[in-house]
Amino acid sequence: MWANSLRIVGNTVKPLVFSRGAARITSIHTVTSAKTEEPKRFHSLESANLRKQLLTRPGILGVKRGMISWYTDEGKQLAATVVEIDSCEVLQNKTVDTDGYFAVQLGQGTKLKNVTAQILKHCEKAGVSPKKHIAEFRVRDESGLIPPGVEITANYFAVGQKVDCQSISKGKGFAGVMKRHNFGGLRATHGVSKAHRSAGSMGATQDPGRILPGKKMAGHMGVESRTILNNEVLHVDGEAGILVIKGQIAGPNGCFVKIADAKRIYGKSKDGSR
Amino acid sequence: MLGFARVGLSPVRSPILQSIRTFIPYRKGAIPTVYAPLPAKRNGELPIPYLHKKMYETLDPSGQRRELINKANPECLRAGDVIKVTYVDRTSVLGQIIAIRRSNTDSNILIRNKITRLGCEVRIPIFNPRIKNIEVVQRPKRYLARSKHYYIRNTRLDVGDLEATLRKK
Repeated sequence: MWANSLRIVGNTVKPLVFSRGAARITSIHTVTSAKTEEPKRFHSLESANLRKQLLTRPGILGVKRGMISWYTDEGKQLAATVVEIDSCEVLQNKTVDTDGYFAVQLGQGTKLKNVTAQILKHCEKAGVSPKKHIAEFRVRDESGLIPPGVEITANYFAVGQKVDCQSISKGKGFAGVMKRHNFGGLRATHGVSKAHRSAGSMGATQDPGRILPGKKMAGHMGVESRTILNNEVLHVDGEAGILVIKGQIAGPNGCFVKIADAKRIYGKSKDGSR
Repeated sequence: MLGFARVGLSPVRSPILQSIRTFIPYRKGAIPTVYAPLPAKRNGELPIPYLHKKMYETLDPSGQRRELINKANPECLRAGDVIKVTYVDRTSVLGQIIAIRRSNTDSNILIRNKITRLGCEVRIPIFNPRIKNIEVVQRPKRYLARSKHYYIRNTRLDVGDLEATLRKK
């Protein structure tokens, strides 16, 4: 009964004063209500940003130009990929206030033909020439943002550090299961007829009575986004716009590549979960 | 570590009177300002030939190794020559050239020898910084046909024990 007669003003609880003037009732058991903080919701943009494994600075954009043979000082011969970093400039910064997350949008190369009005205006705002490829990199907080119009060169990366390279792989067309999923195929003899490269059984019969979703089958292969993790940087030449990376990068020569610091090594979540 | 070439905004760059092809017909005076592209890097040279040139400056400053496999050079190595490759750690390999693969800094030579009557082959990347010297020990009087001598393996044309034959001389 007394709880109903309490009036909450701010954080403090004041007992009601009866207006008839007859009695002033203040219970000695009155409990001041403790206002607890609203719990952080797991499924919110804010919590998701804290959980995410993000880098402190953005990556850069480039174009795969081919592979070469690289020699270390000890005489070890390595296969290396050459990435051209040409006219990689910052176009826009995205912030929590405007977009819900921190990111740096970059543009690469120059496009002077068939440019859409949107791209022209966007590049005008940043004060850079119209860009051929545009992509963004998420960063952990505002300290990773770079003002628009700044050119980022290849010596952004240090020799010896590890990078992740994301690009679109070569298209292989409609491929069978042996090529697409490394299946073994069927036998060459023992009665196998015109099914030497087939998948074989698809599953059980009446139970479940259907092919389970995600069954590996023949289909279109390639032209998929592929990230090659933890490639070592062998050589950088900022003035010439050349970055040499150990190993392979997915995609044909001339394909667009996103290169960032290795997430598994340098990336951290803000809440420390990853 | 950070490589910001040019910190600053548009004032560094002047707008240009460059015609832009777009699908959108602009009203007169409504075309956005188009900024000039950054100057071409490497004077417009393609990245991979440029990088090979830079690599030769450290891997082969005198150009001697390149001359060894340059077909325009009359003294150039050929399949059939016997060469001795000396490494920086003073070890060496002797063998007869079976094939030369010409591919910029990845160029290599396949040499063959018989060690205890067993055919042994080594592929030698000629621009490897661990190699100190490549010298011609012997040239044949008459070269065999073809530039790749893979066909001599285990035939009567096969190489003998080169160390022994050279010692006899």
